[in-house]
Amino acid sequence: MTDRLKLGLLSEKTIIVIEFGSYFIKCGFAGDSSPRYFIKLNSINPETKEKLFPLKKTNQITEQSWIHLVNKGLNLVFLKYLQVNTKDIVVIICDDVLFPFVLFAPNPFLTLIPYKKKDGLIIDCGRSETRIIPVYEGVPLYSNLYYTELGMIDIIQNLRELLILNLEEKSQITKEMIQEIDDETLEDIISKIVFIRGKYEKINPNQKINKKQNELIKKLQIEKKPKENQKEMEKLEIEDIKIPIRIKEKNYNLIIKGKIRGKISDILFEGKEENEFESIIDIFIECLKSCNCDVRASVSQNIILCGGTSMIPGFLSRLREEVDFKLDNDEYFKDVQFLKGKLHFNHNKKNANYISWIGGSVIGSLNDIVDRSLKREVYLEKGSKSFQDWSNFFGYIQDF
Amino acid sequence: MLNPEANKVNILYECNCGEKVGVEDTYYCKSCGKFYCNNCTFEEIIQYYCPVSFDTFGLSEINQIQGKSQKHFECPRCSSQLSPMVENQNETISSYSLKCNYCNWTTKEIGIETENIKSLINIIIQNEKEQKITVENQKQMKQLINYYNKKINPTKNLFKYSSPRNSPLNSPLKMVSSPYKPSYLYQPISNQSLSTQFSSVLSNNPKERVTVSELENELEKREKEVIIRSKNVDKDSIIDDEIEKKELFGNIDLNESINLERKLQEIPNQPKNEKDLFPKRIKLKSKKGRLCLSCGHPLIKPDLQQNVRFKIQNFGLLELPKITLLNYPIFKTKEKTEVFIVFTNLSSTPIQINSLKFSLESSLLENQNSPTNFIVQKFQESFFQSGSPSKQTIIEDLKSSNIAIYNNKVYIKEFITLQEEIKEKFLNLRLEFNIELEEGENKKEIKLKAIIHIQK
Repeated sequence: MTDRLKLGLLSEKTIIVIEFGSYFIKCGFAGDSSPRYFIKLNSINPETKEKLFPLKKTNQITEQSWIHLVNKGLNLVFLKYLQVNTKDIVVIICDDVLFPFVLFAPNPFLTLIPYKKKDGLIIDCGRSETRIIPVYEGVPLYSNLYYTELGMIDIIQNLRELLILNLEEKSQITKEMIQEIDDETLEDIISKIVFIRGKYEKINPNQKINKKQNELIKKLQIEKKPKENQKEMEKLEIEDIKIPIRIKEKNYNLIIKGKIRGKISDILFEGKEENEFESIIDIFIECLKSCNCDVRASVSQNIILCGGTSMIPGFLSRLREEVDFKLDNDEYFKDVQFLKGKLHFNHNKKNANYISWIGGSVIGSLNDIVDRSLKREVYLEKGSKSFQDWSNFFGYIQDF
Repeated sequence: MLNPEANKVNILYECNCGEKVGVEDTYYCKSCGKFYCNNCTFEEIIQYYCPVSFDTFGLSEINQIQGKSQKHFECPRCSSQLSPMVENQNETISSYSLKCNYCNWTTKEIGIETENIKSLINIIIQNEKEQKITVENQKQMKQLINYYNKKINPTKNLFKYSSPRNSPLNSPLKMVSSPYKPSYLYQPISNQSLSTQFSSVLSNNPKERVTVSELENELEKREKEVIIRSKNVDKDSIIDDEIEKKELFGNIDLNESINLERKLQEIPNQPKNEKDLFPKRIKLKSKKGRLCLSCGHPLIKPDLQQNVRFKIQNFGLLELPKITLLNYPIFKTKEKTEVFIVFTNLSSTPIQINSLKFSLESSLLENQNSPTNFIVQKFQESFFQSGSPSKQTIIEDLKSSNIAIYNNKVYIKEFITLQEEIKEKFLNLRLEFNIELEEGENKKEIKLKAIIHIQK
């Protein structure tokens, strides 16, 4: 499980908010409605010529060299991207870079802040894993945290396998060439053409879309009445797409068939074959089941979807269908069957990949941020004992 | 002609922190009297400037502008600068637009074209989507911040109450402090909330008190309100999701769709198609200085005016001698090899070098024959009238002695015999010497360590 940190830092006049994800760092200034930069963790620092932030320690990197690399990475973020001075700064992670004030805030608490609510169930679908955690009265209930190692990486791998399975005999592209394609190009393809089909959606590859159906789509955008035109909507079929790709310095056309496009992300809802209990739906219902009845009643009214992977079109409707199906048919979830039709989801697609950053930005612009954050002098005296435990953030939430 | 063996030799200076860096990465701190590397210094931003017009901005102005230029734009496709373009439709009428000279994108594709160049930029600024979205989002952010600031502030007003009897600290509800109780029981109590919500519970008049069942009924009402509110939000988000999904069923024009990396460069927008692209404002650049980590004194400070000069420049390159090898030595075991080391003075004052020592891994170097103390003079232009010496003349001069001096260069000869075969692919020849630097009337001696890294 990757460690997700959120740092709120104070220099003389500016407060910086940084969110560390497993693939991106989102950084910006407090008070802004969106982060300024999304920086990839895999990108290479031109000074050190190594990874920008090696957040996972390996045997090859010693502790001191790890601290040194993170120090350089933070310097790059502040001086090159955000262009902010870092004078007299003591950092918690490394000794060389110093900040006067630091505040750690847990992600689940911060995702609820933009919604002005204290209770909620957060489904965070990221690149390497999906985490589900209930928050009650602003307190993240870590004892009921569930996670599964399914994310965008698995979708990319699934796409690769499906391409290999559906290769035509006459095509110029071979299995080995598909395996050499970068993760980044495949992710780019996924962001352009992939969607999540409904559980009961029928697919007819022969039928093509007419002009009338195209106009229908445009009408629906304006009127938003899918129920009236549901039968016609079901007739819309999926086309094959040719994508120009460069493999080993040669250009090819990669054909992705229509029947694959809706199936690529099914792995999130079906899980891997090795473990039974690994799909998002299973851990979601398991999490609800494990909550106290008082907690469950309020938490089920505010289920928040966040994370970049949840921005794939069709995620929300598929999630609802699968949950209803499981609650009806799976005997293991009999105790929680009454929740069917009573779950309410919140999903803002525009902000889904940085919603917890917005929460951090709000907290960073409050009047008494300085009083609540850890001071450099205290850290120098006490060292690592000056940190509070992640679960002990209650003192701050109390006033909200 | 380039020397193909030049890459095999690398000369590094050892800092006090243990880091080995080239001469170009060293700095001299006059207050500490030491040479430092990049790790022992830190950078500081002094000024911001536009890379197109060179207008300067101070540290206080930068937050308002969000670090971006007000007048200059870059291409949304390839991020190169947009320049104005004129098209003469008639003799009298001409149309202005912005064009990218690299990928040929123009503002005509968005429908922005004017007859007057002054109005062109104003129109672009007015139509900036990113700006519109951020303005809308900023209003919502302000509302959120005010909402939470109000929630925090009541705790500060607790000490305003004159007598302890009237203060809410004595109220029975405040004694309940479990995190699992509903929030409204847990709110900080002010005079207003007392009068509206719970005055009947707290009042001394028994007729006005409320029963537990009435409180429970209020709870149920509030929970229903929450359910009704969330249902409306739920519908809209599902419908939008369905529509977006169905748009992808048909044939997608991939030439119009945008890469994921490009999407994430415009974060509030996150555009999907080329139609959504809009010229971006050019990001401002910064002038940086360097400060010593131990004492905080400035080592480098750029000039604040529009030029490339420095106000303060304490580069190590200007004080330290430049060390090179005259030729690439080929080592053989148990055979003497000649190594010619060159000390070059790039500063305007002569450099005194004292107690020069060579060292290698144990038992590989014989007794040192080269001189230990010498002066490297400053550069003299008159020397070139006679012509600079060639390599061969220098080597012949060094046959008779171990040292040769030409203008601002000192050539030293040293013999090295490898008594054992080295398994590694490189050889590190260490130099230790002292430098005398003038500080006003006094002279300071500084110890230095250098490493000549030779690849086999």
